[in-house]
Amino acid sequence: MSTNIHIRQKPIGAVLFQYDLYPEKIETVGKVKKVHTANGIYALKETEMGKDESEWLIHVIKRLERIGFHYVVPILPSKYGDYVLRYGDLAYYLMPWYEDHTKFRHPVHPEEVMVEELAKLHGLTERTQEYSEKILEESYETLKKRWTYRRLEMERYADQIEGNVYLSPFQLTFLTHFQRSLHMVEQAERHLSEWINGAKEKKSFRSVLCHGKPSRTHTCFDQYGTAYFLNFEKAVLDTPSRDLALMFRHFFQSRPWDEQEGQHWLHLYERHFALFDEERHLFMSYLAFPESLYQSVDAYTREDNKITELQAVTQLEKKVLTMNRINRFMNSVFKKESEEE
Amino acid sequence: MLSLEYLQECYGFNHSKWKINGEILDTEKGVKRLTNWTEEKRVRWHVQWRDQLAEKTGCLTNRMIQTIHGERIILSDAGWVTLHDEVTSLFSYKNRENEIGAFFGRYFSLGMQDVDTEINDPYANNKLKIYLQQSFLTKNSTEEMRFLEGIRRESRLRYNKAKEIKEKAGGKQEPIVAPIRSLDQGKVVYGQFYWTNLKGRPEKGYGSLRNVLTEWLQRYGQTSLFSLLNEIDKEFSLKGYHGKNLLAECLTPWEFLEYVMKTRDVHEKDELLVWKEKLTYQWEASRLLVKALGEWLDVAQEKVTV
Repeated sequence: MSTNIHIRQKPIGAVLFQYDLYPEKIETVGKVKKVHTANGIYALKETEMGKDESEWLIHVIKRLERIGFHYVVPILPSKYGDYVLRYGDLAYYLMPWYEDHTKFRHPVHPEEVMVEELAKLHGLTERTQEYSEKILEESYETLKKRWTYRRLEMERYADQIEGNVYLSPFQLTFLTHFQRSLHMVEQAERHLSEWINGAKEKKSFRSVLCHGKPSRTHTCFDQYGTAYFLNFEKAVLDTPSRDLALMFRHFFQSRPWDEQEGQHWLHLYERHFALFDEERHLFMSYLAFPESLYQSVDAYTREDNKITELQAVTQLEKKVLTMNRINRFMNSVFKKESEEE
Repeated sequence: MLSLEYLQECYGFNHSKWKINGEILDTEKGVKRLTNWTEEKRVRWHVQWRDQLAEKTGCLTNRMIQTIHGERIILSDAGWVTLHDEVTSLFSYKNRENEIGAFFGRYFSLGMQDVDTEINDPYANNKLKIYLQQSFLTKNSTEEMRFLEGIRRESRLRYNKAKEIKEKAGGKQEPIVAPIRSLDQGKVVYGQFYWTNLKGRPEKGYGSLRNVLTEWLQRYGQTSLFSLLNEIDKEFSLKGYHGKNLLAECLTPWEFLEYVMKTRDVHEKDELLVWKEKLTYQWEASRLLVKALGEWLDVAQEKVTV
């Protein structure tokens, strides 16, 4: 679509007009406008989205409705039947306002509910892809190249700071755990190889609809503990391992956990949607690669770095802790498997 | 006529009452207008036109509101019915040449050339040509006949010149658009431009653009018109054959045809006088527009005069 003509627009008013909504009050809650009207409360999301992306989002939402996946906050059409309204680079869509509950009528563990519903989403959208060794090889090579590049970057950084007479607390912490991170890189690469070998042997691979950003902030809980996913803007057809890894990574960063809990979440997921062996390896390779740790270095060395040394060290230590937990989780999952064999 | 209850059910209104019976509805979702259509293909073309216009320009237009079941058109005993917002506040175009020029540029370059319904092509019938060919003078000519004959001769000169320009420009693809009769079709809602499309047949050619430019020149003057043309040109190239064809359209003496048609059966002197005044007014408006357009197009060598 070509760009819009800006006729001294007041986009929010013009957007709400297209839904026949007459707001009594508008609050800004994160990236969403909470619109109070006489006929109810609505959430208006403003986002940067191209035409293709918005068409994809509409397709995803309609598909979820068609296949009967109800754990989604629906997108409401305008009075003209449009699901996404576009103003230049900005896009708007409207949802009913779902109050997010943190206290429930009976004991609920949000992570458990989320992982189960993600499994249901994957199960309902599972599709075996036409086997193409070329595509597999390409995916493998792309990821491997990226990891090699990241590893080199970090080795270069480690070499550089090792030459310093005085190390900052952050640099010291990084160097202390750097070898351990390299071990995780090797583990990630090993699992990645296991994945490609398994997929090649099987001569098949499957895709599911991945939410793309599964996290607590993109989930609304009702008072009974039912979760509704929202924000499918980054949804994509991909391996379930990717979405699951993203969700686990989010869990790891949001609260303390241990390998038993990790195993429990994986077990819950697999109760609804069992991963193939090679997919489990891919999942583990995604988790094992210490990208999050390396991102702390990126942030620390950026010129516009605004966090204090203490904050940087605390963040890094947290990530080291997560990395070690992932290592234990990884070992426990594959140890269990070898015992079962 | 569709009942209020039926409409409420179709569109999911909780409360509604007629403001004008069968035409304007007052609902909790604002004031709505019902439009009746007698040709299905035409209403479908208008649905598509308005959707595309809204998408391409990002401006609000009187698109068809859908029912709770997602239908944009409903059936009635007399044909088809659509529902629209009733927006009445007029838009002020002053100092808005950039935005409005872009809007009209996109309007005329929308490219909905495949039309499955009857279109209005003013050149398709020969009425104007016929009236221009025969003299109005007889042995006992009245003053009115002599006036008509004078106008006919002037009009024929305009017509021939227009024909010549059109032929030189080449018979390439002309736009097909929803007809525009007045700039007053531009309204304002929530501070935003809202365009009210008319329900007439899709129109081929440059008649609607001529209406826009004539009114613009009268309201805002030549400098503003040039700015508007510059903006239109960015979206709908007027420097090429469209500009020449537009000039030909402005030269074509449609006001003469209208005068002849309207006054054929008029015998009242006062009424005739009103039509004459209208003709003089339109003739002068055409003259000024052709002059301005000619200047903008820099076609002085054509020696275009009215």
